Amino acid sequence: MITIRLGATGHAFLSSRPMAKYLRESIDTALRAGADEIVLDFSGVEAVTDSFTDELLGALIATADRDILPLLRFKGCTEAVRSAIEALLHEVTARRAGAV
Amino acid sequence: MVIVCPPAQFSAYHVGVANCFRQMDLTVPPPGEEVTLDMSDVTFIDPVGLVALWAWKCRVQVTCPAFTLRLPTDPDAQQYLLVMNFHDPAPRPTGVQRAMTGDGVYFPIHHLLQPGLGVVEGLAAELATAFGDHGPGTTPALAYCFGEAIDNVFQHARSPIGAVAAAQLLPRSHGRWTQASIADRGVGVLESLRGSGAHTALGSDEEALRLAIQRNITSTNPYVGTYGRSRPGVGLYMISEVCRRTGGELLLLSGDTLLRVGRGGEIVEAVPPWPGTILTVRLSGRALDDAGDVISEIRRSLRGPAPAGLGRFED
Repeated sequence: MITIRLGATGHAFLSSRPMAKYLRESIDTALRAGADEIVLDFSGVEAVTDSFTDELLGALIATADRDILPLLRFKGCTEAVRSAIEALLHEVTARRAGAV
Repeated sequence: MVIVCPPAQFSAYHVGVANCFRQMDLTVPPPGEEVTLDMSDVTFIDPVGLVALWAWKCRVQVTCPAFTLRLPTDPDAQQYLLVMNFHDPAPRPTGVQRAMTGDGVYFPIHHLLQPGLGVVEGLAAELATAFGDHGPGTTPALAYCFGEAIDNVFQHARSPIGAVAAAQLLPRSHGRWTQASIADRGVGVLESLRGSGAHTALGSDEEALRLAIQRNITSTNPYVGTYGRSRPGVGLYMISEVCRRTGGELLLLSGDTLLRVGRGGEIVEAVPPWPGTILTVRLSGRALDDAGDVISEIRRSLRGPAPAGLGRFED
């Protein structure tokens, strides 16, 4: 299991695609290293924008060479962060099913 | 050449942005021209006026270095420009809060030249800190709008001057209003969407602006793979929804069109061409306090009930 602490950026509002790309590299690295579980720890993060979650998780899920959703665990999410992640996952999953 | 500001007010609230733009010539003078921006008669200006004039001034000074600013004679307007750093020839990337007689909380002009890692995050956090306890319902919503809007500038605008942002909160005005404005001198919404390939047939700024606030409309190419597809194009839609649902207002000016979005729908006004985009969000603190976390509410309403097991969450 590998834990990636998004709050370690020191920013309570994660709101840009460059920041998401930067954090995505850590997750990519963990996946390439064969991690069987990746914990994304949002402790210290108050809110995220939808562009941020799109660039972090939408891109990650789409471009991975396998279905990585079962490997991800989300920790320390505020209601605002959780709603953004759920909205993204909901839409990505619906697209997979061909509903969107 | 003397460019004269509208005689009384340069404000989204009082006389309207479109009127202000119609009353003054914001084209870029010929290279080498001596330019004076005459603000003598200005008695009221707010963030949208500030960022528009600042962005225009930056562009003009590239080819017309002999630039003079004639300050307002009205002492309140003069003090406001001082507080908002408008006098500063090169404001620091991080703003300094200064005291001003009156009830407002002021987030001075920030000029962001490069996106840089953490720059947008830093600015959203600064805004939240500045507004802090004055806007418990407002601050997260405004920080969201601010973050998405500035990220948009760096993602899509190709603005040679970067982004200019300013905001203010009036805690004792009716409904505790906040306003944030972001301006660029980039390609504009129409050109940006046309460049995406999916919207090459767009024919006007109005068409582009009306399309841009819809869900999943963007010039960002989605990531597509075997296991899914990302979903860019949510930010501007969310900003417009926050405004619609809380009785606020989104003012989106690009090219020759100003689009106003609020609870009552969309209104379009013609303006003299602005090369780039100016986004202004006006929100009522009272409405947002009642609405709670409006961003989360909107997300939930879009997705419907979440299927069980979608994402594993823990404390």
